[in-house]
Amino acid sequence: MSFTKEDVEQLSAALREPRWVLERRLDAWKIVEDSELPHGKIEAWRYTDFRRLKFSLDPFRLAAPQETTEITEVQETLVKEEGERGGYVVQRDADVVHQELSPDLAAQGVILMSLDKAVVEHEEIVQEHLFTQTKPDDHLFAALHCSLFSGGTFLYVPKGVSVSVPIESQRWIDEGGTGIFPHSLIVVEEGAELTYFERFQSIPIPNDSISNGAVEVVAGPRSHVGFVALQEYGGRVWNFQRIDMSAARDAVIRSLIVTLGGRFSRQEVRTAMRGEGVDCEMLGLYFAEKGQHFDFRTFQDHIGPRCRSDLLYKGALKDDSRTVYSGMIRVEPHAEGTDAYQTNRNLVLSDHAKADSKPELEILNNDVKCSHGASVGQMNEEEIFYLMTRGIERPQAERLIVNGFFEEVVGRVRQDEIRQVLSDAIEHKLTGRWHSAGEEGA
Amino acid sequence: MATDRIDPVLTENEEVRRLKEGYKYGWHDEVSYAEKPERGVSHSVIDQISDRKNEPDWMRKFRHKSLDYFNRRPMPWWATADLSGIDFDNIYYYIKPTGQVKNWEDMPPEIRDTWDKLGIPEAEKNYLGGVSAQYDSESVYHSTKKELEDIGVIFTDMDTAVREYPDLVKEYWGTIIPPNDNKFAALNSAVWSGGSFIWVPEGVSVDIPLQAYFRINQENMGQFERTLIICEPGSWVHYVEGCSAPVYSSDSLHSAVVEIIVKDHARARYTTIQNWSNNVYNLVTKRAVAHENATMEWIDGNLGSKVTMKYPAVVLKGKGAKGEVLSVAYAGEGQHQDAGAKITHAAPYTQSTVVSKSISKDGGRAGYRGLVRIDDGATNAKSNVRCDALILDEHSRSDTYPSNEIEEETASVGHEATVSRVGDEQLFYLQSRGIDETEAMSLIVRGFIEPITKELPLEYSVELNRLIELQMEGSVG
Repeated sequence: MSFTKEDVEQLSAALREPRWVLERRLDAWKIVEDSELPHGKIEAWRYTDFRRLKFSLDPFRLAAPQETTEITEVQETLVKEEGERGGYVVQRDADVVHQELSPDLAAQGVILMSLDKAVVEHEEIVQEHLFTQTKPDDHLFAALHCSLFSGGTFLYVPKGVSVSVPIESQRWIDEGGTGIFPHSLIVVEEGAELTYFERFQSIPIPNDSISNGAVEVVAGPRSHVGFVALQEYGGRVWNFQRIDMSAARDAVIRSLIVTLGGRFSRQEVRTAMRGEGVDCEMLGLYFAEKGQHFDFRTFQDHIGPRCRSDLLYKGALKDDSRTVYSGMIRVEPHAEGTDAYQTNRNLVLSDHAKADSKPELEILNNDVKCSHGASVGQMNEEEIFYLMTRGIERPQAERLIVNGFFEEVVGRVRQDEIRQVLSDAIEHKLTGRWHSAGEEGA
Repeated sequence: MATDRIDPVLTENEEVRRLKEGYKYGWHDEVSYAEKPERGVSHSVIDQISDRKNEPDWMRKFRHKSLDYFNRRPMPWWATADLSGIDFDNIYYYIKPTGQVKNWEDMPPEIRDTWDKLGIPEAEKNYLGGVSAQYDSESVYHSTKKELEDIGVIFTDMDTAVREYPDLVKEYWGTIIPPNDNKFAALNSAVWSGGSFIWVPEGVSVDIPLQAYFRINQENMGQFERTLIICEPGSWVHYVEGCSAPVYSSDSLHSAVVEIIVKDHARARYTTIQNWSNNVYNLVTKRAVAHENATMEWIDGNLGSKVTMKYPAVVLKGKGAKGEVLSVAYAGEGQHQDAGAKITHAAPYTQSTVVSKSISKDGGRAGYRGLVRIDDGATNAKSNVRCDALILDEHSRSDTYPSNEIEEETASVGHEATVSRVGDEQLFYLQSRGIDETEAMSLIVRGFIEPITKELPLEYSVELNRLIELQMEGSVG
C-alpha cells in the first residue's frame, strides 16, 4: 500500500486542522496498520475477490489537498444546467473548488461548506457528530477513509427549517493514479426537512484511481431526510463508499443509491433506526456492463420500537459483469412492533453475467412483521416479441423493458429535478455511451 | 394485549415440565456394553476400530487419511452456533453393544424395552419393510423382510455391507462426500460405525418406507453412522431415519454422513426426524447426486439437540433432475437449530424447491442457512426457496442466511422469507369458535408446519404433531 502515516500527518497539517481531528485520523490509522485487504474468507467479502479483480492499493497516491482550486468549465456548465438547487459543493480530487448556498437558506441558519472548512469554522458541531455513524473499525477501507478524508461536505439544517429544493455535492476525479476520500456530514435537526443529492463523476483518466467516500447522516426527531447518490465514474475508478444514516424518533428517512459507473463499486448502506416510529425507505438501482463488478451491502438496523423499513434494490446485468447484493435486516430485542421488508431483483441480460444475492434476517423479537425476497431472472421474450410486433427494433425493445424494470425505483423519487437527472443518466448508460476504459467522462 | 400475553411464557408451568420429563423419549436404560475403549481419537483408536470390524485394507487407509484431514481442518469459521462445548478428546469414538441378533426375542431385555417404548415391534409387524435398529455405534438388530430380498434390494447395516458387498461399497464410498469435505465429515470418515446401506436395482420400486432407529445411549459417546444409498436407474426408495435420545448431563456429539446416488429417472426420498436430547451436538453432512431426470427429496425435521448444523444438499447433475428439501426446525430453551439446504444446478432444465419452516420459543434460536447455485451452462434452471419463521416469544430468535449464486442468464431463481409471530387476530378467531387459547396456539403452529407433516409417513406425522402440541403447552397464558 502506498498510503502512509506521513500522508495522514501532512494532510492534517496542510488543512490546518484542530488537534482532535488529527487524533481521530491517527486512531483510524492504527486500524489501517492492523488490517489486511479483505478476502473471500471473510463472509462480508466472499463474492468480491481482489485477487481475481487484480486490485491492490499499491498504485494509488493520495490526491494532495490545495492543488486544484478552480472549477472547470464542464463542472460549471453542469452546475448551471442541472436545474434548481438550494446549494452546491463541487469537489475536484481532494479539494472543494466551489460552494454556494441560496441566501434565503443561509438566512434561516442552514450551513453548507466543505468539511475541511467546517472543522475550523463550526468545530463544535462537527466534533459532536463526526464519525459517530461511520466507524473506522469495520474494515480496511473504512479505516483508510477515516484517516485520509479531505474536501467533503458539511451540511447543517437547524430545527424546524424546511429546505424545499435539493442541495447537491459533486465529486470529480480529474487526475489518474490518485485516491480521494470525500466525507459528507449531514446534520438535520428536529422537525427539519432536507433532500441531499451526491453525484460522482470522473473525466477521462489514463490510469486507475480510487474513490473511498463516506456519508454520515444524522436525522433528528421528526425530521424528513432524503438522500440520493448517483455514481457515474468512468471505467478507471475503483469506488468504495459507505452511507451511514441514523434516525431519531419519528424521523422519515429515505435513501436511493444509483450505481452506473466505475470499474468496481462497493457500497455499504446502513440505516440505524434508533428512535421509536422511524419510517425508512432504502432504494437501490444498478446497471452493470463491460466487466463491471458491483457489490452492495445494506443493513436495516431496527433498534427502536415500532419502526418501519422498506428496501428495494433492483439491478440489471449485461456482458461479463457481476453484481453482489447482500442485505441484512436485524431486529434488536427491544424493537417490538417492527415492520421490515427487503427485496432484491436482478435482471440478467447476458449469458456471461453473474448475480449473487444474499438477503439475510436476524430477528431477536417476536412482535415483528418481516419478509424478504430475492429473485434473479431474465427478460421475458414474449414482452420483447410484443414490442417488436409494434415495429420497435429489438435493442430498443430491450431498453424499454429495462427502463420499465427500473421505473419501480425511479418512480419513487419525489423531486422532479432529481428524477430527471437520474433518468438521463440511466438513458446515457443504457444507450451504450458509458465507456469502460474511461475515455469519456460523465 | 401483546405484552400481557408474554409473561406467563417466561416460566414454564409445573404441569408441562412434568409432562416433558415423563415423555416417552426422556428415559435412560442401563446397557451392558461389550467393550468400552479409550476416550479421544487417534491413529491407534482407528486401528482398534478397524481390527475389531475386520475391515479390508482400503477402509483402514481411508480412516487414517480422514483422521489427518480432521486434524488439519479448522472448526467452521462461519458457524454462528456455539461449538465451544465440544471436547473431541472426551468422547468415546467407538462402542460395540452386544453382538448382532437375528430375532427380536434374542435382543437383550433392556434394549428390547427401549425399542418397545418406541413402538418398534408393532410398526415392524404392521408395515415396516425392514428395521435397521442402531443402538449406539452399531446395529444390534437388523431384519429385512423377505419381500425386499425377493426384489433384489439390499438393505443392511453399513458394517455388514463393507464385508458382504465390498465392490459395491467401494465403488461409491466417499464419492459424494469426500473425507475432506468439512471437519465433521472428516471425523465421521475416520471413526464411522454403523449406519445403513441400501442398493435398489434398476426399475425396482420399494413401496414401503425403509426405517432405522438411532439412539445415543452412552454418556459422552459420539455417534458416527454412515449411510450410503444407491438407486439404480428408474428405481424408487423412501428411507426414514428417526433419532431420539435419553437425557444426559454432559454433551454428546452426533456427526453422521449420508451419501445418496440417484441415477437416471430414479427417485429417492430421505426422511429424518431428529429428536436428540438437548445436550447433543448434531453436526451432519448429507448430500445426494441426482442424475438425468432423477428426483431427490430430503425431508428433515429437527426438534431436539443442543446445536444442529445440517444443510442437506442436492447436486443436480443430470439434465432435468429435480431436488427438493422440506425442513422444519423447532428451537426451544438452550437450543440452536442452524438448518438449511444446498442446491447446485449443474445441468440444464433442473429444478429445485426448498421449503423451510422454523419455530423458536423460550430463548431458542432457529435459522435457515442455504445456498442455491446455478452453474454457467445449466440453462433454464428453476429454483424456488421459501422460508417461514414463527417466533413465539420475545426472547427467541430467528435468522435467515440464504445465498443465491447465479451464473446463467436463463435461470429463474426466487427466494422468499417471512418472519412473524402468531397473530392476535388468528388466536381471537379460533377462540371465538370456542377453542381455548392453548389449543388454538397449537392448531396454528401445526398448520404452520403442515406442508412438511403431510409429507411424512403417518406415524411420524402423528408423532411430530404430538411433540409440537407438547411444546405448545403453556405457551400462552
